Amino acid sequence: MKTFAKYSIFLISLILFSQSKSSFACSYTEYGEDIRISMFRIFNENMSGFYPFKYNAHQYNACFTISSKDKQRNIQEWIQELNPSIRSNDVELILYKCDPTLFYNLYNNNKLQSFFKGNTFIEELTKEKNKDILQYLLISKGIEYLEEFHSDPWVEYVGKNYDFNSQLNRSILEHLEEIVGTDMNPFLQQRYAFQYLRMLFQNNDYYGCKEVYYTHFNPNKNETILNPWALHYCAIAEKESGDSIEANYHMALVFDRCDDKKLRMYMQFNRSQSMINQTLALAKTPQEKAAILTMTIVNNPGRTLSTVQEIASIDPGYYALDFLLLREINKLEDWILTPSLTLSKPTVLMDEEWRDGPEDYLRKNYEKDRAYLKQVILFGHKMLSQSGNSDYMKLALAHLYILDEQNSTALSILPNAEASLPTVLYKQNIIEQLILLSSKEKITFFNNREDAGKLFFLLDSLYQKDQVDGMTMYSLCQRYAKAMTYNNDNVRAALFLEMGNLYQYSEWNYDKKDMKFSINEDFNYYTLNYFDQIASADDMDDLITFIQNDGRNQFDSFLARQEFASIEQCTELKGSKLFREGRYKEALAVWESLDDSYWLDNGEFQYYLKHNIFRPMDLYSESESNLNMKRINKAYIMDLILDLEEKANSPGRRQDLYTLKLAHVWFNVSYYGNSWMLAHYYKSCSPDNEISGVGFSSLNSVVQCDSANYIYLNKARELYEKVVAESNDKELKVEALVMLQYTDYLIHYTKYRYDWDNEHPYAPKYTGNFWKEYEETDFYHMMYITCPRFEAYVDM
Amino acid sequence: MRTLTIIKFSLLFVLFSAFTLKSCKQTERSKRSVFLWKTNEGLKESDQKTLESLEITHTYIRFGDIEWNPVFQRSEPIEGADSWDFDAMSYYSTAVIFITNEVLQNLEFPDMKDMANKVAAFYNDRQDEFASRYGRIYGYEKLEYENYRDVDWDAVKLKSDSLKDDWSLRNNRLLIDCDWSESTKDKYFSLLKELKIILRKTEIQSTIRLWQYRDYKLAGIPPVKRGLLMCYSTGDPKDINTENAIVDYASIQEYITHSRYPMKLDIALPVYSWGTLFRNREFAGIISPLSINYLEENPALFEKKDSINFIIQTDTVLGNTYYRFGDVLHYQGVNAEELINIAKWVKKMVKPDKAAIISLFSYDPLYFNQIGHENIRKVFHIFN
Repeated sequence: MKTFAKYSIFLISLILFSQSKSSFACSYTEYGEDIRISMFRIFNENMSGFYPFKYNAHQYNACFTISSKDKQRNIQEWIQELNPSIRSNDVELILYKCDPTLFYNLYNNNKLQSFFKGNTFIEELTKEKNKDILQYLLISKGIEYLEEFHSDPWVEYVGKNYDFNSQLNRSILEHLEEIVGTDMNPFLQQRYAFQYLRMLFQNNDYYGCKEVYYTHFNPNKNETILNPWALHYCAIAEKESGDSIEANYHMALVFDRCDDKKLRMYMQFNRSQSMINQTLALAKTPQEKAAILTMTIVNNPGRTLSTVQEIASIDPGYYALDFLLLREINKLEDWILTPSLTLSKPTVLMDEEWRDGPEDYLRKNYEKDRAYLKQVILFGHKMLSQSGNSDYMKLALAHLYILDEQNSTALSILPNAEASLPTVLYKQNIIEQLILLSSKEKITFFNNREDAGKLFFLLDSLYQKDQVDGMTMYSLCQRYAKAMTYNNDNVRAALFLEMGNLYQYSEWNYDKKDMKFSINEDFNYYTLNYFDQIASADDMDDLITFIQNDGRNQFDSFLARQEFASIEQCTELKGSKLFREGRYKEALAVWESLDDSYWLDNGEFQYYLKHNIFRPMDLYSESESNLNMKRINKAYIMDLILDLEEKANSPGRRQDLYTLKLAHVWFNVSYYGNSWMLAHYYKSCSPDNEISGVGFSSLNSVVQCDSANYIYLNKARELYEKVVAESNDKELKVEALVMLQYTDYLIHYTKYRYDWDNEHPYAPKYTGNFWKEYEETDFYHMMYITCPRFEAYVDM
Repeated sequence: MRTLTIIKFSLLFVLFSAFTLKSCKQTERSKRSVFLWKTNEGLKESDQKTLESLEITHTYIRFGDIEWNPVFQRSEPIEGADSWDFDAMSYYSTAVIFITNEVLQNLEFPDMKDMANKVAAFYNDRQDEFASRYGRIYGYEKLEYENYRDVDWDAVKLKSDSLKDDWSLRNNRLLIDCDWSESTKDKYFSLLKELKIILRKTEIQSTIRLWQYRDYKLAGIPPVKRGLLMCYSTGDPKDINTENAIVDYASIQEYITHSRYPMKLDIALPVYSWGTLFRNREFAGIISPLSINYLEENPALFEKKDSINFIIQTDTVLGNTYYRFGDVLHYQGVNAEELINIAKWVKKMVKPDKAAIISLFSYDPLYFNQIGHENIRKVFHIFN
């Protein structure tokens, strides 16, 4: 009794006193870019300078550009200066890939030619007539060395060579100051001037920087790539010196004329309305005005069509218009499709009745977005005719029509599937064809599924070569998953969701092999999660058939590329679903078909199904040596339940005892019990957390279809009440009463888990005198001594 | 008899001394402090006046963060406050360097010595910068003169240098802010030990988060003489059911459940507030700083649903976020009454010693006005 009491005090107090309100979630919540639906991802060479501004849930898509335009222009200028026969790769190697220390060492040891044998750029540079140019290159490599050294973020604080580099900095500045302004060819003149103003800028000499710019460059010209590069330093120097309007204007010029500095100029640009008006007043050409206006919206996440239209009217051929339209399309996808195809709630369903009401924000936003979509479509038509029916515009317009559910119009605009298109447009064309095949009218037909399967395979092969974005594949899979639900095909819906998940996370180099919840390598709950959440017991048979099917069509073959759970695992899950659906004998039959070894070899059943199912762990402690390891088997437990049910329903001796035992069993297979894993696979701090939303919000989870018993303990409580009502044995009655009290408490706190203001304090059902008639029972004594909360109830 | 008298008298004397000493000690009180957490703003004269009116003599200055750069696979220092943004500085200060747990996760145990060297170099550099700034402000910039020729500039420089040196000597404390985990505990503690060796004349301190206080046996005790208990950040802002992720009285009671923490602790209490944005009941971002007054004073944009939930009334772009009609902005902050209750609980359970620094996180006139200066005084008074 003492040992028993000692354990009981701890266990019962632990349970009854430590009902914390919540455990503070430490898991990651997907939102924003994790789930954004986007299928229109044309990003051609002309747009590469806008890479940092691709529509994205983060502040910027990237803090670098992928454009090589500026670099190529610089290379061509070198070639033009030296010799048109020089290969551009040779120039790129020396200018952009050669380590400055290596270059210096080779130069000092006269080994440039031998080391770079065959390099046409070095061959030209090392000629006597080009020695001045070679000298310039040495200076610029020195500057590169200086900057590389400073690229180590710690060197400023711990760098032993910091003083050395300060000296180097000074000597380069002095040399540049001396040489700039001396008589030399224009090519060198500008390049030295550029390096000098850059060094002055890095040394915070903004006035010097501006002075050098205006001496050697002209903001009205764009004859060399150095001009916008140099102007970018000058513009920031102007801003720092207080010439804000001039600075703003120059920033717009730089933004327009080169790719490498677009992001930096955008970050420095002042977008307040008064500044924009004053900046526009300085613009000399329509292109300059268009550039200024582009900078006001290029990273704006809201509706910007009116400004895009203004840009188009000022400069119909402005090169950024394609990109700005791309952003509007991506926004519309996000606003209309992301809620519909992900867990953002509620779904925006095209064919549901709208609930009218003062708080119907979602409907109102949806209607606004659809109205905006129509405006963008109209603009798209205008751009299509202005562009001379370009393929890009056709694809853009088709996509907009798909968003507007006008599939036949979209199809009529799309280029032919066999049309010869540039790669990036070709890919998008495939995507559009695939989207159209997912429509309700098309997806039921075998031929269409075959075509869709082929297109999926094609896109997947491009994805494997990093030519198609993982989030595009994810978006397509979400769309198809939804299409499958319209066909009441939960199996394929779940399979598409799983595929989407794989594409979604492979973007982050996520190895799905790591996503195993059990210690056993073979058991992979992860692959069953979707089925656990949405499939019925009968769906599991369909899944098993799907897995075992050898003669698949292209559509199913695509889905079959993912890892499946084993047939035994599917079977076992089927049993759990049957149990949840109340089909106990069928559940037993299914579980009986599995080997005993299955339960020990898979998952964590061996840890959670070994307890004494007849004793609630909150009332009775269980020493390690008594744990029931003999038959860790759901079929065994199910058999016990059915047997006990029969005994409890058969009038006779000790029927009340069997009823109480059965009640304890139903308690123990609930969320709160020691064998919750009988028909569930994981337990969270709150029952709500177990219902993990998958796919999209119209997809209802069935994982707690047994919540009446699993959460609300209906069956258990019914049986406890029966014991109280019918039993003559006071020991049994008081035990049943204690469990009624306890389960009442558990259900109350499950219901009012977030009652921060304590508006629903718990009032115990049985208090004070109610317990008097049981005072003489052993069970009462045990509870009174070991459970402070029970003692409190009694003393109330 | 005479002996007895002497004894009695001595006893009386001892008792009397003890009484007066105790009284003397009772006049000591905890140092009042604030955190200066912005990196683009320093202390202005008007701020200094506010702090002085509240008898706040100490500030925690964010020297910088040490973060992990996954692209270059290295730790990187990011400077925090810029001394040139300061027109005024408090007499007492403690430097703060925040190290992300990711840095510790990605470095190996033997790297801690090198890391300590870097952190120490970073600290020394910034300490010198702020000390110089102090000397400059109170040596040069506060100087009043009509004709510069009349000023003995050598003496001024000497004074400035002297002020700089005094500031350095007086404020030789470094608080390392790190939310270490069980898996990085040993590395973090090793880092602290190395720092203590390298910065012998500097008092190294460590932050202690609430979970580290509650579960100190699991979290470990950092090898420093003094820690700073951060009495906030109790919830998950992304959870729609979290009423207040910053702090609330009930949560504090769940964390500060004992008085057994085996180290002297300074205390930091929250006065900041923010808003969590939910769209269709899904988390969509955090807006900070945010005051309840701003929300209440713009009803055209923010419709009040209840005391802390506001509904966006029109599609609008603020900053870089597109707010949609119907988005719910869930204001989270701590009101004066709750702050006082929290302070009382902390005082009762943690029992900070008389030398403890009681600090408010973080200083912003917006937050201070929201709480109210009188209430701030009350909070500090609790720890007297």
